[in-house]
Amino acid sequence: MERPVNAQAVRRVLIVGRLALLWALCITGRLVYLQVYKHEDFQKTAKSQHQHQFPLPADRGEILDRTETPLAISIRTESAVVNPQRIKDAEFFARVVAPALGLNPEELKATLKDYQERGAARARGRGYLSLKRHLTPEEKDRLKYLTATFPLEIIRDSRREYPAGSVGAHIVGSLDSEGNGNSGLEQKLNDTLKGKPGKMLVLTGAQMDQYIRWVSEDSTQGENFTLAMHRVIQNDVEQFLAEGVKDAGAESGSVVVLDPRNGEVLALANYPNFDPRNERPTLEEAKARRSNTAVQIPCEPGSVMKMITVTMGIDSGEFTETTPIFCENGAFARPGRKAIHDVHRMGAMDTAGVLIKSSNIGVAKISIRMGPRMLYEYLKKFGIGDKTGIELPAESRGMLRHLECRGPKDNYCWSPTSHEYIAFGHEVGATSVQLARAVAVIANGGLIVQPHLIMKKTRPRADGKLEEVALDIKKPERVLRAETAFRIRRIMQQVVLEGTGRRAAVPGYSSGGKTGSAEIFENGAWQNKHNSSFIGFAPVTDPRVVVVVTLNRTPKQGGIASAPVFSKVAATALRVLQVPKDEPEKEVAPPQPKILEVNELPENRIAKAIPQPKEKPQPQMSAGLLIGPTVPDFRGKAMLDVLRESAALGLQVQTKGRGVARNQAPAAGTVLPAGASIHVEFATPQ
Amino acid sequence: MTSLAALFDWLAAGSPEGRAASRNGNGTDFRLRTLPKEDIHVFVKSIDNSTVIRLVDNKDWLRSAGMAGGVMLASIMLIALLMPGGFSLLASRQIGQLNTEREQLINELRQVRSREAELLNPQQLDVWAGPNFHNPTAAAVIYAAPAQGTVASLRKP
Repeated sequence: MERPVNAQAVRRVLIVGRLALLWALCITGRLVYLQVYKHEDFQKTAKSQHQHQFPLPADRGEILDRTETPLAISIRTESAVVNPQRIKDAEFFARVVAPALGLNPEELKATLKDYQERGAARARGRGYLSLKRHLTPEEKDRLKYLTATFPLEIIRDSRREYPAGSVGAHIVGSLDSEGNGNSGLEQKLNDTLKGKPGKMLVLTGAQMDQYIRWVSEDSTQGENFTLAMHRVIQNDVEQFLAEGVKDAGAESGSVVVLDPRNGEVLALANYPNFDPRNERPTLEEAKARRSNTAVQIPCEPGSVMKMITVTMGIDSGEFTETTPIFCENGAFARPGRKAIHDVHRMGAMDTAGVLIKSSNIGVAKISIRMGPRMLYEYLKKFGIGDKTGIELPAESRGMLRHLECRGPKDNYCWSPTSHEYIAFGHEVGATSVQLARAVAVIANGGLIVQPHLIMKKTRPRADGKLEEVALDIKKPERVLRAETAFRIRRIMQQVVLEGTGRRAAVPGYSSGGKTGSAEIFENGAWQNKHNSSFIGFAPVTDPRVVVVVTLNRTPKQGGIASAPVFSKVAATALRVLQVPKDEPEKEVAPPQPKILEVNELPENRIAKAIPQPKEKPQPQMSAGLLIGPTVPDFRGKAMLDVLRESAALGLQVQTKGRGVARNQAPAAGTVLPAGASIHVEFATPQ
Repeated sequence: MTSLAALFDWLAAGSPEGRAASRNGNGTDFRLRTLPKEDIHVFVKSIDNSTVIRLVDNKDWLRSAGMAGGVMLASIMLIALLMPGGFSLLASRQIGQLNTEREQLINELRQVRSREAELLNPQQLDVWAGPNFHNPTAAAVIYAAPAQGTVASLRKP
């Protein structure tokens, strides 16, 4: 007989069963919560732990010269990286890996330990150390076997190559260690050059070991730029500039070569230059990288500005080439104003002669006749005070103050006499590129062009072919009557033939130009240093090149220091561009310097300093001592007078003692060699 | 009639151990004893089917052919269904390989162009040319006569 089931036992079984059911429901509920409600969160977390996204660097666009020769090109390479936090034995790692990469094991060990100590606090197991960039095939082969043992990774990288070296460095620019441009076009066009990076997805295990990777989005190469710059012209220009700076004893300089017909910049050089291949530049090189003098630093143009003033006079119809202007015999005194002086005493001369002989008084009179508003308008027409739009970083707009003051406290405006001084290049600042654009107006028959470096822009298509992209370049705009431009061209040709720019003559070609020298006033004194410049074009009949040469802080004037550089640069550019010669070629011997020429003073000095001594001692010249200014007689003069007179003549004087000048060496009347100074002894009168 | 033990013993006798045990006389060590009521009766009955006549069934043949055809058709359809995918997989692999190869070639081309530009660098040419490369003097230049209709000429007047 079966025993009847106890009712209490049944109840206990039911309780256990209910508990089990509850437990099952709890588990099911939790599972539903985790897998249904929290599905996305956990999926995201799992993805972040196991799926990593890395940027796939895009190939940087190429920069080519006008012959399609690469100036900057990116080569794909591979680099070895490691996460230092995953290395257990840094010494063992360094001893094995360093020889494979040609590194010093001790240095590698120290670096790893440093990273590990720093990273432990902040990196939370992550970290990145580039062991070696741009691996050679041999190094890569050696690493292939080590990647199985060590947490090494070989990642895609790229190397920027500059096959032309330092040629055109200020145009092309350079990259920093992170692959971003830090000067030149590399900086200005960084966004378009660097392209669009792709995405690579990597699945990793618990130990961050990668087991599968794929490209989810391919990178897009940056745009390619073909420049108007010709590397042969550029190379020669850089050489001539360096020689010119050295010969003139200048500190820096710049040259711009422009095609006046369309504004294409054929060459743009600055001194000192730098080598973009150098990844760790010295302080001087780093400074040279940053300063693109031709574009970023304006300076007083001096006499070259007379070109615009005379153009204004002729274009407005108030003056013709033959209109006589009285040049006041060297000193133009006006009541209540500082007198304006000329280097040489000149009487009446025609308007063309004012430009050829570079008369400050003549151009000041033209400016006074035309008025400040008209001068301001013509300066604007020539682009002075406006950015040129050249594709280089940190372009300066120069210095052209407002015509009218905007308030009682506005100091950045023209004074009642400003137009007189601006007429010969003072109280105004322009960069070499701005000057080149201004000369191009005369050279191309009255059109203002936009100086530009980029001639062509291409973009790689999906099928691998290149697609040309339209450029945004302003069309030439007429600002001057063509007739005026032709007349000014002829006058500027005379400057080279018989004026201050004789050294700018180009063998086989007719050329025109204008010299300029602006002495530097610093620390309350004239420094006997000039910004010497020469602007010009060739050939005169159909100018193909405009060249602007500026040498900074040189003791020599534009006609002596910069004009020879112009001659060499123009000759090279015309030869490379295969421009037919328009004049019979003859052996051009360097013109013998004349005392008149070497005594040419900067215009700002003439305008603002005291007049020259009335009686000059007759120079006793010999053939070997022709170069240099004549030493005046300082004896019997007070120290202040001696300093003033020497400053006016651009001479360096070393004084000794106090009182009145008693002795001087060299003696009065001798020709002072370039760079030499005069020793003057002073004594107190008894 | 036999038993399970006899059957095992018979099988064991065929093995090397069994044969060795038989030779040594201690073959009973592992032999199973016959258990009671475990006799296995094996009967052999001869069947004479010489008089059996197999009838030809046409439907059977049709069924077989239909089955074979159906299987073949299904296979072909499956293959046809999978083939584009397979081809595209193969093609994508080939495209991938070609892309990689193309990128390698482009990179090599860039290296070659860079090297060429480096060799043709004016600075480098100057170094190689040394003193042997200079502009000729004006007198050393021979001017060719202008062609018919030439506007500008290089001829020295």
